[in-house]
Amino acid sequence: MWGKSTAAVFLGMPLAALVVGFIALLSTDQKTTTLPLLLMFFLAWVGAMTCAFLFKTGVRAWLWMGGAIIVGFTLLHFLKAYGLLRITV
Amino acid sequence: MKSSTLRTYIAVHTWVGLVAGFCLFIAFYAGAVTIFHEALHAWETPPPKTARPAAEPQALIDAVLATQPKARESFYLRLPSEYEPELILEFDERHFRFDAAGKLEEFKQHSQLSEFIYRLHYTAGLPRSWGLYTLGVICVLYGVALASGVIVYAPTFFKDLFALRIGKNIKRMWQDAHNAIGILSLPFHLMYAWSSAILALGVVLLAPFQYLIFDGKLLQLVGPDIYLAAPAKASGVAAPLVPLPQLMATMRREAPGIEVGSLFYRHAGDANAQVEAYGKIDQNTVASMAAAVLNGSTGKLERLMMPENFSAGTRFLRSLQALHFGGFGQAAVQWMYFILGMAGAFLFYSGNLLWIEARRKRQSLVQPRSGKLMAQGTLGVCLGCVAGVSAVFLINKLGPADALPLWEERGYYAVFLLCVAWAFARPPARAAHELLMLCAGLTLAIPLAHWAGSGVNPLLALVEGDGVVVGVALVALTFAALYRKMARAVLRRGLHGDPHSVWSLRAPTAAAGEARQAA
Repeated sequence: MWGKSTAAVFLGMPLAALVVGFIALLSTDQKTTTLPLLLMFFLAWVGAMTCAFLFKTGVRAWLWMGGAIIVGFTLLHFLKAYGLLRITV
Repeated sequence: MKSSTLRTYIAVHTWVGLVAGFCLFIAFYAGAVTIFHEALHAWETPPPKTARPAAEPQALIDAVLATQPKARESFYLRLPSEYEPELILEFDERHFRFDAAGKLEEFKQHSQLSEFIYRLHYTAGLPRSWGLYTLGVICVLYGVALASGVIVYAPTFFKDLFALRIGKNIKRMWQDAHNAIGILSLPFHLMYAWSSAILALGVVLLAPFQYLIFDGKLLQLVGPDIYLAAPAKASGVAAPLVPLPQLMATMRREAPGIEVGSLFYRHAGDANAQVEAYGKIDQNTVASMAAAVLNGSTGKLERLMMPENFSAGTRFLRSLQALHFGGFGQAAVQWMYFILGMAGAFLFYSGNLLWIEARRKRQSLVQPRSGKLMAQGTLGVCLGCVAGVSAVFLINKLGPADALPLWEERGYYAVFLLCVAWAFARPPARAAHELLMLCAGLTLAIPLAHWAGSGVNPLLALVEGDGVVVGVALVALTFAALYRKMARAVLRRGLHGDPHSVWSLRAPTAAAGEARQAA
């Protein structure tokens, strides 16, 4: 239970930020859609923390969620670097 | 759902609820009272002895700027409203107005009752610098408690929805009451968990997006949706202010029906003077906020925000805020919020009591220490808050008139801390009975203190149609009666109820001791 709880506390926020951030950057009209998506972040965060308890063990929760965060942010970095995802200010 | 998953979420719900429950009780109790903070501001302020002449806002601005050069940097102007008939100018936490003779005077706020209870609502009584952020984190936990609670409850949703099994099984009854309130007011709680987290942590939570996702460009994207205007910089060129009536006329022309409540001036007397006006406009939307930015030296309207021209994000954000503050729908919504808010406070109180019931040893007169400590902590914090809030109302009417804000604040903390100490010094059932009687007494005294302090007979107020005084008196009487009823119930349980409980006052008898040894 402690493993899952710590995964929820420490990994819930970056995972939710990653998901919401990806959707926000995929939008073609970022000026309109960014704030509404940011407001949904709270729901994504609570959802991510709740889902952390669905894993069988704490180690699995850490590995899956941590892995998703590392892969996700790396992917995001390269997609931004190659201009496939753009911040349209 | 697998039973092991269900058990996990029961544990999550229990522990997250316990951690967040104490602060949430205070936030909900003080928040339910804060719904009426404008009306309470009228209650806490004695009516002026002589009628003041209606003051001209621009005259007050000119008078203050002439004598207080520092006010040029920035000041607030609060226009008279329903519950605050005075015109007030504020800067650096100093307050100015015209006295009865029409002369400028600096004054100290008579009382801070409504402000203090509002602060209690968003800090739970913790220090101002970090109380708000702590409560923000609590709101996120509250969200997790709601999600896990719904998961736990979902399988038996329809079977248990209207069940309230009053009877011998006290745990069953508390559980039913907790479930019924929790599920029936779930939309209200979801909205509060969400909007409170955004109000308390919103700015902080922009940081991960700003740095990890948007490479520092986030504020350029969402800034105009969140903020009215960037602060203007002073040019150093002197220029006179455009008179306020002219600014008001400009706003009314562009937004007919706008009701300006307050104005914020920056760099008055400079060519770049900036005036932000905040108010309301009724356009049949949940969020009725209207705001405008004007150049204070040319009178030009630079931006006008009102529901008609809100962007999607602004509409979303402002609507969540309006839902949080109950700023729509007038009295009906306010009373509904008050009742749901008090029911919410009960939800957290009952959650803690359920934890104790679940750990009760049904065969043993000696109960686990954790149950006793939880009972005492719950009683001390929750009833301490209730008694403290009632004490603030009493001090407002009976305390020394020249130092009310200080007495109100210290009075609350004194009563609260004494209640916590009392709860831990006494057996739980005794503490519950005595603290609830204290709550009942303090609450019952509110209308009497108002009568003694202001000289206004509550019945006379009723005849005169003073809804605020009558409303406070009626709510106080109702709650005092409820606390008394609860006090008697807990004493009855202590004296005559099941002795296998932390709530029992029956001393372990020799016979029972022998029976246990035999077993």
